[in-house]
Amino acid sequence: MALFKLLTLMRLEWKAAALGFLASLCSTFASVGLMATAAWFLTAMGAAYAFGILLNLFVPSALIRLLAILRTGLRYADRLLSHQATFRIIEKFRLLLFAKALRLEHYAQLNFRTADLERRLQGDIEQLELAYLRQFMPCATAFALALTAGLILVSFSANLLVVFLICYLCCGVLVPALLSYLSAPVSARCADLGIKLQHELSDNLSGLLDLTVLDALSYKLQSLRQLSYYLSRGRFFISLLDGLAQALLLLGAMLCFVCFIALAGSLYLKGQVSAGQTMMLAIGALACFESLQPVAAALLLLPATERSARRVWDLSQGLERKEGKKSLEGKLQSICCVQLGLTLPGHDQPLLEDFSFTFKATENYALTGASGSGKTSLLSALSGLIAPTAGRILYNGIDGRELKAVSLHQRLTLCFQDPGFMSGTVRSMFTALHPQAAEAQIRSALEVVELWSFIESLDGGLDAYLGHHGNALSGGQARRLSLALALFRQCDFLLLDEPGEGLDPVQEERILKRILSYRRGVIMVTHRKSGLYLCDKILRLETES
Amino acid sequence: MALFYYCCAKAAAQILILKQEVPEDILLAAALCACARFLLQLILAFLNASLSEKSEHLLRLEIFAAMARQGPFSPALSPALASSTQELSEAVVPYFAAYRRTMRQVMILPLVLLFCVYFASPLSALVLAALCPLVPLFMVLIGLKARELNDRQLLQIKRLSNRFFEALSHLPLIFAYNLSSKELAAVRRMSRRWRVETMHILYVAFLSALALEFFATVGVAFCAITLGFAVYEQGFSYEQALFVLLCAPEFFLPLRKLGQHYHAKQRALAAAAAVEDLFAPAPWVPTAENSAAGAEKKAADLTAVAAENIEPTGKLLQPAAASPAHCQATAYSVSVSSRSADSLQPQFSDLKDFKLKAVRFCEISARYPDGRLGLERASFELGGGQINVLTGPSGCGKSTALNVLAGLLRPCAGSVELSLVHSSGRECQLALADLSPRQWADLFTFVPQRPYFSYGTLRSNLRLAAPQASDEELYLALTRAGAQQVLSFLPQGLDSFIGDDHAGISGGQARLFALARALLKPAPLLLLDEPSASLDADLELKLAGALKNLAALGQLTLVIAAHRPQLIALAQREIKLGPV
Repeated sequence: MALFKLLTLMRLEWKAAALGFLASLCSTFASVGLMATAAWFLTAMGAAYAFGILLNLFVPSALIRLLAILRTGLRYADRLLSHQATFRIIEKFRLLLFAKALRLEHYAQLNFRTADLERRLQGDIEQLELAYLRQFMPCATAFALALTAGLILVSFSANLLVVFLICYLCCGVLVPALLSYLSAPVSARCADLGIKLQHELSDNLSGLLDLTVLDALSYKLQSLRQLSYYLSRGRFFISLLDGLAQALLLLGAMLCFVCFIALAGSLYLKGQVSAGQTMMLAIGALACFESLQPVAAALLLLPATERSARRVWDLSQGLERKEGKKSLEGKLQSICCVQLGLTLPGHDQPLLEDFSFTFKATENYALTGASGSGKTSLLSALSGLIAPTAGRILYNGIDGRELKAVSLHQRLTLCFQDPGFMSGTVRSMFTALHPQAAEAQIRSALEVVELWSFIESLDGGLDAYLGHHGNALSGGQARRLSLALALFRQCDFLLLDEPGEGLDPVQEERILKRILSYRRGVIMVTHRKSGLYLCDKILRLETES
Repeated sequence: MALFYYCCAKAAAQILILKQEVPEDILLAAALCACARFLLQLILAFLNASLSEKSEHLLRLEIFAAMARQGPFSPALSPALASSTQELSEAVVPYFAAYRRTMRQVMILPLVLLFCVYFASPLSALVLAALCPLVPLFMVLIGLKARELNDRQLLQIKRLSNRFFEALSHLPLIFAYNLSSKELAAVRRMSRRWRVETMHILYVAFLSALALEFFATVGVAFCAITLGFAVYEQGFSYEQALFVLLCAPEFFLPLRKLGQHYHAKQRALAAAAAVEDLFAPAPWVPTAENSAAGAEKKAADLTAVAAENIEPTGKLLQPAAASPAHCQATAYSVSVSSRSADSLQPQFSDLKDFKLKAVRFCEISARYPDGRLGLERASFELGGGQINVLTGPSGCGKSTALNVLAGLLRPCAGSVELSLVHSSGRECQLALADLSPRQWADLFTFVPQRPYFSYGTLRSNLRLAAPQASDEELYLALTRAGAQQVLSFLPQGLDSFIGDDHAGISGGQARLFALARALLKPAPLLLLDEPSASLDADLELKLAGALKNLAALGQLTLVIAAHRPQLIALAQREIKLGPV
């Protein structure tokens, strides 16, 4: 089912896909044609010599040369065009998936980054993206080739067709399908093991200190070795099956060739075909089998693709976010919670019940309370990420449910608990928020969080690439960077979730003092003392146990 | 294979030229040849699969061992290592199984075929032999150009591709910062740029395949035409001509395969470069490291040799070569890991009979692998059975002192002396460095500054220190650590899930759980590195109480690195460390 949806994806770029397919088909035809013509030419020459017939030498030899050049050129075109089509499909696919993900509700969006899934997602998406190139194209080409070859053969003899079809179907469909059925559970287990192994290894790397001092390293390594062993056993089985499929393919091709010589030979002896045609048919059939080679591999991969497709589709199925139509006029003066209740999905007990309070843009607030008392969820609700399960939140008197999210987020910004920024140059991160951001403004935001000297020291300064495949940031630096980005948006309300986590206390104090004394409308979740005295009001969330 | 074609050619010639009946015996022979080839290929597939299995497994084992050797402070260890390992172990299989094998085939198979063809038609053999060296030449030329392009653009391409996945995992951020439409545009733009840049590389990369294809095709076409004319005009044997024609594509096959598998080599080399740092010699254990690196290299060489010994058509020169390589390499790693265990001292085999009286640091200097100096000529004494608090400004070496005690850092000068009292009252002195690793590990338990909790339940995380601990023991440890109240906040108790890097619980909770975890490992010396950082005042008080209770039993020696007054107040002995 999921695979079927995948096929509909190709429809989006059907022109490129068809072009790639056409090129691939033509090059295969040229390749088979070359071998067949060469065989025909050689045999006809042999027969002509033996029986003393005069032959037109130049047309066939020119044809061979033409086919040779065509084949070379078409192969190149085939590769280029099919890759082009693949990339076009990838482009469409990513856009669609992303647009869909953007519309999802908060918790469904969070699914995209749960630890287990995140590692898998990239592999899944890549697997799907290559399905056209690796699976669809070879299968389609082989099918079209079989059809054409079948038509040509049937014009000579039905016997030939039957032999050809039996060998072709056996090698191209039956055997790979059987093997793929056999290998499906193993390859599924291998994929899981691979992810598990990577997961455990990265776990061990991050926790190496703890593991070493707790004397648990040898025990953990033992389990890693075990995993590695199982994984390689699984891979052994799969590569054995793959080798079997290839060997069977070759066997089929050779047997088919032998049968063809026998069958076409007897036809020749009966005088129904010429000598040249006999050899042309035999070698042509042999050459057809070459196109089956990728088909076997494609079918072996099919279960994995199917699984990936299902996972990605499950992920992008979810409730979509609802939003209203109204927008905020002017400054956001107050956020008023009226009997607010929050319940986490899957929980019976409400996290927060009957919470009423008015936050004003002219004051700074601190939210404290024991862990698990709902501080972070309250911030998420205030910033419109999650909808309240009971009560209302009024922004300047307008119910949050009737408000456009874009308009709310122009007036309010949230600095998440886990430092979040997307890789890129420092400048690009800031200009994404304000396209006309001047260097001085960026600099002052970075100076508030004491990151300017670090950025300045990087090769390239503001244009240095941070994140994956670039300069790495420590946890504290990442947190300060995300703080700087939130500050830079200069909204009426600034919601900070544990801004000091991972910073050293002295630095935290300095940074918070700078922020809290120069602006108002800050709502800060914290469990520490630092900065509390700078807030106008301190709210303590209590849990009833 | 050649035999098969020979039979086929003979049969065809008999039928077509001599107009005899279908020669069943020859066709049967051809079919038999096909079956024989099938069997040989099966054997080859089996050997290939087991080779790749072994090389993959072995490689991972070596990486695990190197990781353990390098120690937690090594700059070579980065979180990216996990994915590089995965990438490498995946890349190494096609490298050995496909690339190296094809390479070997390229060396042998065309030569064998050329030899056969030479007997049939010297002229064709000459043509093929002349074309053959041109192929690698063009490939190398184009390959160089492609690589130059590659290096320049590869990073860019990786970034563009990665950025998409990053955007997917930052959806709430994009939503809250009003970046939706911008990101959508950015994803569109980046995917397009990614496509264009990758296609640029492919234009050139496919050229090398084109060159191969061209020569292969031209070779076949040329053979067909010259043979055709030879047969027609000079009466050259048709049987031999057909044989040559059938062999010609086979002649170029390994070369074409080589072109296909060339990227396997590139990929494997790139992946190997990513983990190269790991096998760089660690500063304080150069000898063990080098021999291990040698073992790794040797193992790789041997497996490579084994891979090459599998002759293409299935005739095996040394079928068992793969397994000796495997055994030898594992033997190497075993000898490396067991090397230090030999120095066991029988007289102190069981530390349980001894009580720790004092730990003396004598002129200790210690340096981190990245060159940072942690402690310089520090001398002080820690009292056994007491609460010792190390104080001083940050960077003065508090953590370093703990790391030295835990054996995570070897001091570059000076020594740490232990004073032990036997239950019989006998007293003895012992240098820390003389302890066997087992004894040393039993001596201490440690709560690091940033305790790490992995993805899993709280129970599984606590059990790291004591894999067989029952729930009662876990609860006891949590109570001793003063964490029972924190535990009551977690609705699922021990079954609560903790995300990577203690996501889902606060830093304060994590620290208390880490203390409980450390207490599960029975040891006379409890080391705590800034245990109250990110605890609120309430929890800090609880922690202080718990630590006091632990010390009151008199069994434990506590060493705490602290800078908050609450904990410093606990000190029965305060050691002020000056700045380095």
